[in-house]
Amino acid sequence: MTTQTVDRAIGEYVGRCVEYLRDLGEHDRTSILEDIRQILSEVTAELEGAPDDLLGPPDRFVAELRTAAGLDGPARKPPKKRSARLSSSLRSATAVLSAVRGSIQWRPAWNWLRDFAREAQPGWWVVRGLLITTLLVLAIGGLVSFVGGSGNSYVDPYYVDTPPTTTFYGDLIDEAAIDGFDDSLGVRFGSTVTEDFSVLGPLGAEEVLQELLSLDIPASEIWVDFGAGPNTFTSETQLRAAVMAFWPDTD
Amino acid sequence: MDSSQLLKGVLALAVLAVIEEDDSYGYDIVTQLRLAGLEPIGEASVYGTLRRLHAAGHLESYAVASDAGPHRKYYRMTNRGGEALADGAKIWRRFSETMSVLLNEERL
Repeated sequence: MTTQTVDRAIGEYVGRCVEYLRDLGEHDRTSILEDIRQILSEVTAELEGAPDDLLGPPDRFVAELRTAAGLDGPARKPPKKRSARLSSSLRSATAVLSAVRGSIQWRPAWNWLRDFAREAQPGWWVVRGLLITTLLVLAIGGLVSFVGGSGNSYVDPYYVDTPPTTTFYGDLIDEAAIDGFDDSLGVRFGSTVTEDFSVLGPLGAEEVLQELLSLDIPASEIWVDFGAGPNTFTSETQLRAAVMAFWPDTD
Repeated sequence: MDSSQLLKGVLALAVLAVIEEDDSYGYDIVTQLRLAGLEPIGEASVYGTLRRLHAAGHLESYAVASDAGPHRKYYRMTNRGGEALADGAKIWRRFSETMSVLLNEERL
């Protein structure tokens, strides 16, 4: 395997391990993920094979590591993925949602709508029109509330409640990895103003890159936690190369 | 009886004993333990144990560049780790002697 292939395989394995560490605090979780990356780097330097073949499946590996480390705890099963068809249909709604970034008022309604969409999968073609219409209404409502300067906060497990530091974006990407690139992502700036964007389908590398760039944050502020290569970047070109190399393209 | 169950209880002692010989990194420690006869030992158990010992202040770590790939995380024993190893070795010897006597008596 090439170095890039190995880095990518390591990144994927580490991304799958995150799910079984979510009950831990950020410090322990990040530290263990670094350990796992270290283990894989050492093992793959000595032996040929995929991480799953060398270390076993992530759930078992993490459980054993946690037991030995004295960090026993509940291991959560990965969330069930939406079907490709539903995700593909919902992806078209992402553009609409992007238009309402900057507001938090519509979030509760959005949560409800997302759950509804999941349950409505068999009859998706029937509710698609309703969904788009609702999203447009929410978009208008969101923009109105944004203009109004409302500053409520909310608690959402998918949102990392920390200031926008560089490591924060590593968490953001980890969150996406946890959910198989299949759930919403969010960015919180402080406790009152939320920059929000939603990713509703399995993302390809290009889409991940565009989402990161759409945050309107300098490439040097984005931290990518995949592979053994650089995690910080001085230009968009570098960021693009790293995302393309480390982020599995599911398209 | 599954030997891996017995091993769990003394793995920290075994890891400290390997590192006492010389500073080492995770995969090398796994290899040394296996060569010493602890074949059932898994990578996750060893790395988890290293993590626990490090958190307890029994080990320190430092990075060393490697020709075979990314840097390696080496561990070395602290004074506290040395004391823990000495204490653990005493307990193990007493335990081992006791078990030997018990098992011999069982056979008679």
